[in-house]
Amino acid sequence: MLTAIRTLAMLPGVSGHEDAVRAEILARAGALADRAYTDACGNVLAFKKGRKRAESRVLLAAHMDEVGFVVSHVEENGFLRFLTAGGIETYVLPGARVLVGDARLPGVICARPVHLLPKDEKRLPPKLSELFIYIGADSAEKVRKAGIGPGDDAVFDGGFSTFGDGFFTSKALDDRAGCALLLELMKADLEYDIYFAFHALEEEGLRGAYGAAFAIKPDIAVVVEATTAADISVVTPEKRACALRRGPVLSFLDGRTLYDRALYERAARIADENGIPWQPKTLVAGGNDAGALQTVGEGARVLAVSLPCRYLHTASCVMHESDVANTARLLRLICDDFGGIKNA
Amino acid sequence: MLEELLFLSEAPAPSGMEGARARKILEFAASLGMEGRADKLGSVIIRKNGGGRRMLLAAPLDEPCAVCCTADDKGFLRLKAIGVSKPELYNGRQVTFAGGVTGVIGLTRAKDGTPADLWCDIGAPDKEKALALCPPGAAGTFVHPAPKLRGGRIEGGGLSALAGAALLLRLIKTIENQPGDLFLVFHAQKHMGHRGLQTAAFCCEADTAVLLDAVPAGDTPDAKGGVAVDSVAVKLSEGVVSYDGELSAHFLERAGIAGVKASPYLSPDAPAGADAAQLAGRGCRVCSLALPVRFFGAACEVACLSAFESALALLRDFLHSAPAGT
Amino acid sequence: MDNLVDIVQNLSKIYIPCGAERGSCDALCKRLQPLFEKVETDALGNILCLARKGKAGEKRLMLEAHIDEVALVVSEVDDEGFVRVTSPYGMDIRSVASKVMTVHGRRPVLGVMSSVPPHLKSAAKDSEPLEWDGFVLDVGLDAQKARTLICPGDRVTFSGEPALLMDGRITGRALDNRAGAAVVLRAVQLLKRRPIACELWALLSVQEEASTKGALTGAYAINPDIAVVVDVSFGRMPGVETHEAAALSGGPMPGMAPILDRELSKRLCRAAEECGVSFQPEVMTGSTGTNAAAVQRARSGVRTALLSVPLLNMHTSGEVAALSDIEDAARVIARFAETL
Repeated sequence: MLTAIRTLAMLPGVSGHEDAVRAEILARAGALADRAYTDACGNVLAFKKGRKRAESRVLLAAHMDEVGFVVSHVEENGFLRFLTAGGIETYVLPGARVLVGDARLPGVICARPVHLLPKDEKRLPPKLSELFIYIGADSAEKVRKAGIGPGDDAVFDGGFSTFGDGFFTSKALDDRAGCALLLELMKADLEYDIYFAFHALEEEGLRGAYGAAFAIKPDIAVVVEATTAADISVVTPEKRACALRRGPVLSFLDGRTLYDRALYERAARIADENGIPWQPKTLVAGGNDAGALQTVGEGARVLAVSLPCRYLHTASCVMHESDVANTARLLRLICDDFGGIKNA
Repeated sequence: MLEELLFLSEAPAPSGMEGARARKILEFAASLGMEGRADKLGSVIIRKNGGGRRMLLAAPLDEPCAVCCTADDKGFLRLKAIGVSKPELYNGRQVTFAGGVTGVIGLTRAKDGTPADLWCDIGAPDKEKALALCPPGAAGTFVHPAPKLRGGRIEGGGLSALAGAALLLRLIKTIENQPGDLFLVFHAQKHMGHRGLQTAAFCCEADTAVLLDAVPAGDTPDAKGGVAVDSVAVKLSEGVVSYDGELSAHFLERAGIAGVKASPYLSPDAPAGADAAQLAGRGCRVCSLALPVRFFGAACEVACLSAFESALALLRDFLHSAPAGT
Repeated sequence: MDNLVDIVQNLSKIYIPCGAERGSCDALCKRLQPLFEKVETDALGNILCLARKGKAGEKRLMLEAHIDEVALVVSEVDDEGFVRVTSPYGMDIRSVASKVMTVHGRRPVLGVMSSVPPHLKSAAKDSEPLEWDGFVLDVGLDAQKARTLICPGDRVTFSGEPALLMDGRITGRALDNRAGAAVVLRAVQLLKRRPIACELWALLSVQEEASTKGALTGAYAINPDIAVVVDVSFGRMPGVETHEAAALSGGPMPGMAPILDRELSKRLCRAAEECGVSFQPEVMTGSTGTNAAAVQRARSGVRTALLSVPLLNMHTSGEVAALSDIEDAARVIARFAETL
């Protein structure tokens, strides 16, 4: 599965500029599902028939966009001002490599040299307005000739690496790993019909999810996300939210959504009965597409099954291969079970 | 260790005025048939020829002190402290100047309570009488309880200042035939930024150097972790000063093989001039062994006899087994 | 090592962490041998290279560049297997979060420097200074295994190899000062085919990022009459004053400072003019923050000049230089050597 995650993660797909990853997912879903198409939001929606007709309409959702940057202004000296699409802390930016525009021109995010800063500023996270992307052009004219202008996106350029015992790191594991899990499910001989949604614009306000939910009208929506794990030694245990190597994360509450309690308990039971390790999300923080899926139209019962992920919203998200395997197993069991839940 | 400590502390050696202690060491070396001299800064350099590789073994000669700068109208001396990293440890300490003059140290404080300057009460009624007893430039050394051995622990004052020199002295007493040209140096003015080490190292032109010293132990309730008092500290780096990685690793490895307790030591602070031996002339590969001392800099300190013996064993082993190319 | 891009890239691929340079320097020596008559290291790890033996009466010229890079030092591997670090050598703390790093332990170990995601940070934290003990390096190993590979004192550097940007710019870690070292090697290359009347040495020094003193012992041993120190200096970008920095691709920066020899500084500028290379003088006082301070002080003093290459993002994982500045700096030095 790592190869599949790697392929998807390496594609550029900043919110609102998901073209490359959309094309890839559409192609794959098209080959695996009974129906696959895109909509006005830029989502890829698919439907896969199962062996039985489902009692409840079940949707599995992941988002295909990643946090990244948008060029806002080209300075006279060739440096590019930019905004962040999705929440990115500025202190991960100085020195970071990016790929700009459709041509994917390599660039570097530049900050003022620390040596020249006044003493009380040397360790402060930089302000976004003080950071610039440099692609090597020393004038606005050269930038223009290179085909880059305001509105172009820039994506982290970092590569995919395995390290330690079973860990891997890459940009965009949030949520290409979720997308890879959905595509993997589409390969299987499922018990029930399942709808799949690969949302655009999650990082910019769950906008893909709103559109998809309105069209599909699911009874039950299971969001497959990457969720923040702060299981590092500088974070006190009660603030760690979840941990790598402890299996899929089932959320009962996050910053935006109270999840369906019955679904949460049902999923937990399925995991226990099948010897799949799982963990609750122990810190109320963050939000995902469930926030939109739950409240659109007549609403839906929502559950989030997530992969724990360290260093979210950076070029180096970190996950563990055992969590991928365990989450894949649990999702398959959930798909084959939830479709049989009778609609009340 | 006790014997060496007592021997060294018989003569005071405030930075810049180490002559008395230097003379004692030179006389002692002569009694063992070893030639030695003092250089222009007062560092003691004892040479033991053996041919081949040149090795420098160095320990500080001086101790922290307070130099009289002036006196105020009430007769209190105003002192400049040398080698005093934590002034608050000196409040209320007794100090001795030449001619038997003694006094007690006090601290002035800045607005936020941090210690600012040292002053001294020598019982003089006014400025004139004070300076007559203790003229500007007179150096006072701190009084402390004499070291005593209590069940494997040495308790007493001056351990942090003298541990390195005690180690070197004991090595000199027990040195047998060993390969290489050895330079056994007690360097002056360590507390002024290792000035004596700089000049001595330049003269010796050694290939390798082992600096012998003391460091704060890291195994007390108030410490944030560090070397235990019964372990030998092998310095890896102090601030921006790095010690030779290969030599340091060699010490740690040999300690492991011999079942001797040794631990790596890293400190965020770079003592001024600590890289003096590395940078002298063509340069030198430098490593450092240190004795961990509890209550470092206080009137009464604690060190461990077994750590001293361990350091000695490691040093002796190094003289015979130092890695090739050093 | 043939063309300039290769020189810079090959130099940048080697990890030479400040204070622990010896192993890499010994390895680098072998690769330098084709270019020099004699290559050896000194007690600190400085690499002393004789390019051309001089005849009687000829001046001895030494070109110097430091080859160590900023690094972190492992202080411990904690009980959860995360690596704690300290930073004595000036790595920019604003540039480390979430970066991939290499621990130079028993073997190179890949790790990710931690970051705390937006969801878990309080608003107040945005204006708080970053602290080194707020970071851990994630090597994906449990404590026991990590401790067999990683020890206190081991160095940590940014990971990665350089990449080319448009218009001949190059970006990567350690261009400070592999760019400078490339200038020196390139200059030596250029001078192989030219008649010069001086003895030519190259000194690639260590521990500059620690104390700018490592070059002292190399300069002492070589004992030059004249030295040209090559380093990097600040490149212009928005927010950096025009007078504080030089434009990338605007040419090398001859240094002018009280501790630098005024006549030599002028000669560097003249050499640039004669080559048709544009140059951007940089005026400093004090130690100049480079190895010029150490070299000038060696023995009875050395007449020292300084030439710098403009660099963006100094001491981060993504420094940027212009290959044209590196080439031009080498051409200026070659011309300078010819006129001695």
